[in-house]
Amino acid sequence: MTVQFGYPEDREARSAARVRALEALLIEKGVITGATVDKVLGYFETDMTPLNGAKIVARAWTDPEFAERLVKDTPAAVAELALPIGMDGAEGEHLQAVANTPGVHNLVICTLCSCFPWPVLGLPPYWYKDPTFRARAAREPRVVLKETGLDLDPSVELRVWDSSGHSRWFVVPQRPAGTDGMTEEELAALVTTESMIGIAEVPSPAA
Amino acid sequence: MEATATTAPTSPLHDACVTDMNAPTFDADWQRRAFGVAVALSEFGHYPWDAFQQRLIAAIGAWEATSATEQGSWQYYEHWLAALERVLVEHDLVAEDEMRALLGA
Repeated sequence: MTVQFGYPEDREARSAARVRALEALLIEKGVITGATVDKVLGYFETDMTPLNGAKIVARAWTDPEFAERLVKDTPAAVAELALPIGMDGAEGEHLQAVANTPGVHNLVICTLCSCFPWPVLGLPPYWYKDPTFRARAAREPRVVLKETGLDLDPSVELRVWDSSGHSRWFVVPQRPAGTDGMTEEELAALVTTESMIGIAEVPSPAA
Repeated sequence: MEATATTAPTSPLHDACVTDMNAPTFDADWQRRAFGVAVALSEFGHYPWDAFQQRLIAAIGAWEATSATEQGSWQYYEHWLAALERVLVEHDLVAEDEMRALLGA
């Protein structure tokens, strides 16, 4: 990609100045305090992380009835677990889990902007927001998956879910082989963010 | 990451998405602040999250509709910031002229 503007640092500096001025104005007007913003940021940086999603997946792997409830009514099933409060807060509304099976692989994208289930997956990786990824994953998802290292067998059905304000999808990946005796906690440690977006599978610990 | 990123891929995914178990970080502090302000205002009821999201969709859509020669390189949080500025005016949190003064400064 060519750099269209000669002075990208100026763009950066200008954006930084705009945000500073905006926040200062909102504070001056009494709309918000700096501490409020810090508190919200801290919450997203420490509590709303993919570890929540990993715990949900590990429970689904060890409890088939939970797994069933999870895809049927995701918010209710998530509420059963001891996760941080606020799982139904910003971008946690309308959570919807979809489960991979040997015959079906699910991929989550957001073609319009970057809707993402923050409370279970944290903030999206930069590539999820990239215009090239958003466009190509909708148009040729199988090719994109192959390029990123997941070569799906042609017999596997690929379902692509476009997240929006109405449904924020996340994927329950398949439990990898070689994990039979593992505890829920050990299993959760195997689950990756990418696997819960559907861009990868959970690697077998034996591999 | 590992030595896989030498060829320029058409879709630059993999270096960043291998061990991303903690919340992804921001490239610059202004991005973090812009994120925090937008979410905090919504969390505290100044506008519904959907309103911000619609503005973000519009800002990104406008960028995508611009010709490649004029559009400049992709910077997600510039659209985020533009959306925030619009939603603040729409919800009367910042007056139009205050915003103009702030942006013109």
